[in-house]
Amino acid sequence: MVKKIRFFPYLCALSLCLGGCATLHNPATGRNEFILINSATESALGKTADAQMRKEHPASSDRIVHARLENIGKRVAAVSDRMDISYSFTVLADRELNAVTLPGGRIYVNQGLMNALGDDELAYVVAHETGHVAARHIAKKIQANMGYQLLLSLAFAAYGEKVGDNAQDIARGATTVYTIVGLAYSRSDEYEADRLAVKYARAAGFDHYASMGALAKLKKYEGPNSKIAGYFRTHPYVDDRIAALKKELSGVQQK
Amino acid sequence: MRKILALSGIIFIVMGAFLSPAATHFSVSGLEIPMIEAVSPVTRAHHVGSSEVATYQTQASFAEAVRFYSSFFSQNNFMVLGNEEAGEYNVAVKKEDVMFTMRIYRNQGKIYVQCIW
Repeated sequence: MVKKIRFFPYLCALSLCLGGCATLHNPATGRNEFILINSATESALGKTADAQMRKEHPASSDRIVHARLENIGKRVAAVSDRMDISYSFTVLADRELNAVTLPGGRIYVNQGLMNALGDDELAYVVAHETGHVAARHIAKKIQANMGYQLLLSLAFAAYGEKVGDNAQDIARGATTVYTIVGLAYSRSDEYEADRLAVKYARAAGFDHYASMGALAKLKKYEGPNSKIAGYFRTHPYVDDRIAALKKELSGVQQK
Repeated sequence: MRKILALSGIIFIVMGAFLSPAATHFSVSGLEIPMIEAVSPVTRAHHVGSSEVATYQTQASFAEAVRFYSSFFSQNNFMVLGNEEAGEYNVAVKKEDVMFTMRIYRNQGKIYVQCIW
């Protein structure tokens, strides 16, 4: 009995340590995950990085192309697993075939990619980006690659809060977020975003089989001499993804 | 058994449990944060991105703990980002140059308060 009592403080500390690793249930991934960045902080980070994005890549002035993206984007976002943020869709005046997502549900598609894809194919690309948002892949990427104090500084700076004395640090932090979101996603994140893309595109009433066509089209443009390729730099593992998508789609067909 | 005891001891020391359950405050970046009905010492650890984490278990209900800290932040002019989401209270807070995240969450029927900075 005495021995048991001697162990008690250690057991308490151990159980608290384990309790301290508690996680949130993420409905998009179906997993319990340790996510430090709450949705409000994520949105604030997105707001800061958006300014950087628009400085480097101006938005397209073509209203029709914006309306097309917004129409598709809103339909997809409406069936997403994540509703605690407000999604936004912007077309960038860039001929490179790429799409990128900033924290807080800010999805950008280059005009080049818009021109290359039909509506159902574009719905897959938007649904894939929405999948990254819903699965919180961006938040996890930032959480893993950025100092926590800098991350909080940036979030508060988005609301005009003075953080320290050095505005340059904030600018550098915004560039860091911008750089991190431009890094390639991991293989498992890409598989997961594809799986969610099929689910969301289908639920939104698009032809989810267009995912294969979109990837095949994008693959055609890839290559060392291509001046407009880019999608697979940030969204790699294309051959494996096509194989995984085939499997996913045959599963969907059987349901 | 000695090995287990030694290992538990090391974990205990590394995690730096140094406040008794009777403590009324704990320090986050030099800022004193009040505790509510603590039933465990505050443990400290390093987490992802070299952030520091302080956690304690409370006897208060989830709603009581949320009310307690919401009113503490509001009465002391903290700027707060976030609220309750996915079944936990998760806010980023800032006062002067001190910034941290507070989570209040349930785990196996127990309520924990955690600060990350």
